[in-house]
Amino acid sequence: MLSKGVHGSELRLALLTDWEFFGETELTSDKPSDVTVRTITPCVLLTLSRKDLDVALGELPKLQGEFKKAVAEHEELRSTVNRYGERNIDLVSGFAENVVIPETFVDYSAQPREYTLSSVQTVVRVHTRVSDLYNGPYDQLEEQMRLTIEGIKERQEWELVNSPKFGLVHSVDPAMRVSARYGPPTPDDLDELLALVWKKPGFFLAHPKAIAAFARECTCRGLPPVTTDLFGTPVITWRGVPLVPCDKLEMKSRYQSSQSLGTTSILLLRTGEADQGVVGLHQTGIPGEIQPSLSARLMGLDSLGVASYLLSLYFSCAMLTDDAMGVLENVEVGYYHDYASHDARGFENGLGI
Amino acid sequence: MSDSLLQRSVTTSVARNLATTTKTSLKMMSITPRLLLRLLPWVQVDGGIYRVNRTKVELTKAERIEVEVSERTASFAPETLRSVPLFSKLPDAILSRMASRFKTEAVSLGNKLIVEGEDRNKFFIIAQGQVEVLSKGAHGSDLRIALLTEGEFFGETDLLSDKPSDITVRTITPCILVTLSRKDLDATLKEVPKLLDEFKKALAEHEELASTVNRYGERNIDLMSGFAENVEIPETFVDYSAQPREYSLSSVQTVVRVHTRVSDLYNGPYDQLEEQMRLTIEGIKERQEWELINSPKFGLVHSAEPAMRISTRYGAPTPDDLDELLALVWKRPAFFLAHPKAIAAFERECTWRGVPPATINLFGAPVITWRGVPLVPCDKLEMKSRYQSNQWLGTTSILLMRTGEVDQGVVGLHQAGIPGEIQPSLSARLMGLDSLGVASYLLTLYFSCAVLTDDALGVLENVEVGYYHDYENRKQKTK
Repeated sequence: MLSKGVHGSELRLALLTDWEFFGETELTSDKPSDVTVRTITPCVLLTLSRKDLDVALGELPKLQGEFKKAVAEHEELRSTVNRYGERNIDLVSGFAENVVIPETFVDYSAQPREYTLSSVQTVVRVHTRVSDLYNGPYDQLEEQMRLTIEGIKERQEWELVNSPKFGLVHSVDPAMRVSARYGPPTPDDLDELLALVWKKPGFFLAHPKAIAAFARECTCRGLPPVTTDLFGTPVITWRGVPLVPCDKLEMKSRYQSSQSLGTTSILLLRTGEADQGVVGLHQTGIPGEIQPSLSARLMGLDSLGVASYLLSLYFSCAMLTDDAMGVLENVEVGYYHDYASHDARGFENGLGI
Repeated sequence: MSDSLLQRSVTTSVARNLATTTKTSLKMMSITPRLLLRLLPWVQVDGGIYRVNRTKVELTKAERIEVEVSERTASFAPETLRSVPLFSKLPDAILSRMASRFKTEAVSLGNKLIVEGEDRNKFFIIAQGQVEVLSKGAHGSDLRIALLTEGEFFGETDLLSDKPSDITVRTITPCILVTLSRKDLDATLKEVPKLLDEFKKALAEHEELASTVNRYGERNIDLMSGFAENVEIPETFVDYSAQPREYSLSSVQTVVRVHTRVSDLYNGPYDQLEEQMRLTIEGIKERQEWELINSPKFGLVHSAEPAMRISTRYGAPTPDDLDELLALVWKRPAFFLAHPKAIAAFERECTWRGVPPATINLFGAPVITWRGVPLVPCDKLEMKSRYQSNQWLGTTSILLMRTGEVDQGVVGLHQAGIPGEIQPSLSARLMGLDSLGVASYLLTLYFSCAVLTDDALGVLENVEVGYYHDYENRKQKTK
């Protein structure tokens, strides 16, 4: 989507992607368009022309009136709410005296979103003969438990990112989604994401391959990102916000046998309850707890002498406001710059030193 | 039926009826970090009035001239011509005659309005668009020495002197200009014999005054320095401005209404009244920040001096533009204030040039700095948008300010200690209950903002946030 800037050059105002729409105001107003829309990839579009709309509304006499009423209603509602769709808090400001002070109240959402704790459960079975005899130097039962818990925790992270009910990728607001401009994740794209989640951004979450792709873009532009230390390992930061690697972000691959190539997403989150960000939910103090919100219970021994342990982990994840998280979509990780054809700076022409 | 047969224990969906839910306090999206409110030093204003005393400015400063553009013609009020320092002493009779002689011209992009070395004898006021002022440098190349935008003027000295022009002026956008040629001026002044003398006298008066004041229009403090002995030591005094600017505290008020039934009964775990108050106060504070920036009376965007306003060179906010702004507010600059989109646009320009800005931590969030001055994000800076459905695109401004009373910078004004105070300068008072049992609370916040000297605040205008560099074509160019 382009528009003429004050200097007469075309500026790219926005980039629209799958399932987004444009031109809805053109259907109702007679003004000439003030934007140019151009396709940059092959597109399949669904269109509705104004003529067709008028014909459809003309079929029944009442429809035209209803349509206009509904549009006018929307316009009226829009003038009383703020940019986030919340009702404006009526205020009076300035130096005027003896004005009627508006009365206000903050309305609550009538259907608040409820998050129930999701669970990951499994049963670990250990034969008593094994756990009785082969315990040196490692306790068999403990090892079995440890590895199962690792598996449960990995799954927990996967669920936090990908769960269709509360996963981060699925709970991003449509207005907080941006698309990569060229495919590979460029510094510009990450800046764009930072401008969306500008209120105290916490960290980026990206697939290691996406981080590598971003690092390549930085290298090509000659901007090495700053690294910082996070829990003992170095991670790169962008504008002071760390890029946290996480292989649970799904990679949409076109080439089946290699799962690490294709397109992925980069998330940017604000965290914490005080900052109205993203928080993880759990419940400590459950019966048989061995780690916070994780319980292990002996289920009993069966007639074959196998002991069963039930491991359950309860957790969920809540996004407190819609602007707490942004996502950069359609990130292509397989793009490499061609340094061989990058013009080599020779000394023969007096360039260089 | 089969479900209930298969069911062997109580389900979670039923069991949750017995359990208590963990509830969050109310979340509101329009809450922002409000870094401006945190960074501004607040000055206690006891009498409700803050008077900024300044030294007397003898010489009127160049102001922008507001030109109204209708269909084909542009017009302005004759007395606004006094904004041109050279014409500041002219009597009304001459000004109105001059104003009637102005012509409206539409000029396309890239035209030269004044050419160096030629005598053009024309005075221009820009009604719309931008022009650049070029001059031959010492090395003979054209240097861009200034960029003028709407409301600014040039060529006033050409009306009077016969010297060939020493600058070149070229339009860089399509422009609408209001012009007065020397011939027309001379013709006007000759209509009535006395006028020419009056005109010359007023100009001479201005010239004399200009020679006794310093760069800021303040009277020079007469001093003597050197090794000479037995010379008379000059006597001096510092004159005060006779009409100091007074700031009275502005208010943001609202009435919160809570039904007593709600506040009596539904108080666990969150106090309903407290929650209503908390969110209304957040709303008031958001509005306060908006007013600090945009209020037509004391808002920062409106109180910046015309001389402290510069325009971006290419539209997008480049490192050069920010350096230019830093050169204007060079006396202890504290922070930039920019829209998050403008910050992203600036970061893109930095990336394009390969100069990543350093980041620092401000109140727990990382912000980028430029030349050590942090760029504070604030979404209250208005975005003049062309595309309606998306409010985040268009042109905006970037502010740079010096803060603090000691440094003669920008200060916030408030009055702590007002009756019923719950936060500094914010009072909450019970107004009473009505016959329906609804309690009303009056919330009032008093504040204002003062710019102590004109050079404490600079504005970078016409910042285009929608410009993206094309990295793919860049490589082809270098080949």
